[in-house]
Amino acid sequence: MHNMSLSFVLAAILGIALPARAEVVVVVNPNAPEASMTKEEIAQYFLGKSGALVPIDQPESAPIRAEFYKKVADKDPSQVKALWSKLVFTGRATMPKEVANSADVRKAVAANPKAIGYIDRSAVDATVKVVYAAP
Amino acid sequence: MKTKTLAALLALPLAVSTARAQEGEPPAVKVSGFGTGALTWTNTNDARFARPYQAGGAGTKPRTGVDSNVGLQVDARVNDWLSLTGQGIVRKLETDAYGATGTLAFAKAKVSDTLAVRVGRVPLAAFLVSDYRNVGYANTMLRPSQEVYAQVPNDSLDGADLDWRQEVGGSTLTTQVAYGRSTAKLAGETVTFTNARVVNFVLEHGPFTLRLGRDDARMVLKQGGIELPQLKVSFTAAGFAMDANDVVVQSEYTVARGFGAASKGWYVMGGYRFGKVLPFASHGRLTGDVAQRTDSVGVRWDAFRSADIKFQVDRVRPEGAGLFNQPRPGFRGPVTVGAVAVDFVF
Repeated sequence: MHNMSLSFVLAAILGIALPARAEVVVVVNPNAPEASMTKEEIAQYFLGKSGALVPIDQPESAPIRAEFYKKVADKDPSQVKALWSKLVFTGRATMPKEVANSADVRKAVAANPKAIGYIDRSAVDATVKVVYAAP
Repeated sequence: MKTKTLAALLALPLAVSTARAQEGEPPAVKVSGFGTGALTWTNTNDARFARPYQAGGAGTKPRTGVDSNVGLQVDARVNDWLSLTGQGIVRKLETDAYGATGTLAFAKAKVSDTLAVRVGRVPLAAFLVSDYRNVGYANTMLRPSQEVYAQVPNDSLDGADLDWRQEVGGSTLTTQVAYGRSTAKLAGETVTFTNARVVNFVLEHGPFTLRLGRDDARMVLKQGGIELPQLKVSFTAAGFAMDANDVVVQSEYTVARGFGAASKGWYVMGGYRFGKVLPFASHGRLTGDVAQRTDSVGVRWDAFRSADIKFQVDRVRPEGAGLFNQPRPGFRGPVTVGAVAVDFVF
């Protein structure tokens, strides 16, 4: 319990001390039944382990992509690529669709009730529903 | 498969996309590929080191043919539930020259979010990494354990398979069932499996994977134009893999029955990831009519965005000639094998 409150205090101090950083949030269509999701649930869609939702990815060059996979799946970009190459080259799955930026992810998610994406918190609006915020 | 057929196969999805483009819809065709450029050498010229059933092989002079390959894949989405996939690989196998093999050519129907059925030439997933053993980038080691993967040289199955995924208390259980026939042209022989039945259970829980698999088939072996009597064969495999907290472990135990004494193969590979650098060590052993042991150390370095560099040294201890090619009289192990490779995907 002590440790927990200490980490809260630390987090608060760091939060104040650090300059404002991009915050990654995971969004789904407002019509999707999920109100919130765990990072394990989210990771399975982005690592090709479940086809129930359609993942929308950001470009490889976007810093938010590396941050998302690190925080949600604890994987580096090359680990993610190696995992996907197993699925793609055995014909079991195809790579997630990539769009240009957070705004385009939001549009894609707003247009598809089965889509799931990650965007910068600043890009959130009423057309999508936040189900997870990366710490 | 002839190169012409392969070209036609790979062009098929492109034709489909053109047809769709004419309807004013965006083409849903993806071309992707993988490959490995490698040099392999050993410390002896008394025998040739090769991947299972390759003609030729490496001696003291570094050669590209053992571990190099390049694969091209085309995936075409026809509609929400139907897609087509074609894949070809160029490598050295049945002759000591690079040749193309059509490894995949199937139509896939997504019946539901959890069930997919594929018809055509599908992967033969006998062991843990069987269906992606040619994709260096997807693997930690430079080449799959010779001791285990020599048992089933065939890559693909002409028939159908089914992939069914279930959630079981926080884990995912994938059941794979396949039926068909499979022919592999190898150095000096053609191996055909008919009436092949494959059942695999893959249980994934977070970073852990547990796999049980069983294949039964009738095997026809043609050696130098002579067809040997049919044999009932079976392959049984138990595999484990994990990648958690930078610790990477992969291990398999396999039994092949049907030809002479049962052949048993196993390996254990462990590694630790220091950022982009992943050193690993492995021990593999094959017992039966052909017997061999290998100790390996190596490193995978994810040096580039879509490419890695690997270096691996194996100490191979064959009983007799083991899995080596063209042994000269008096050849004895152990043999030290070195290899350096660049794996890429695009």
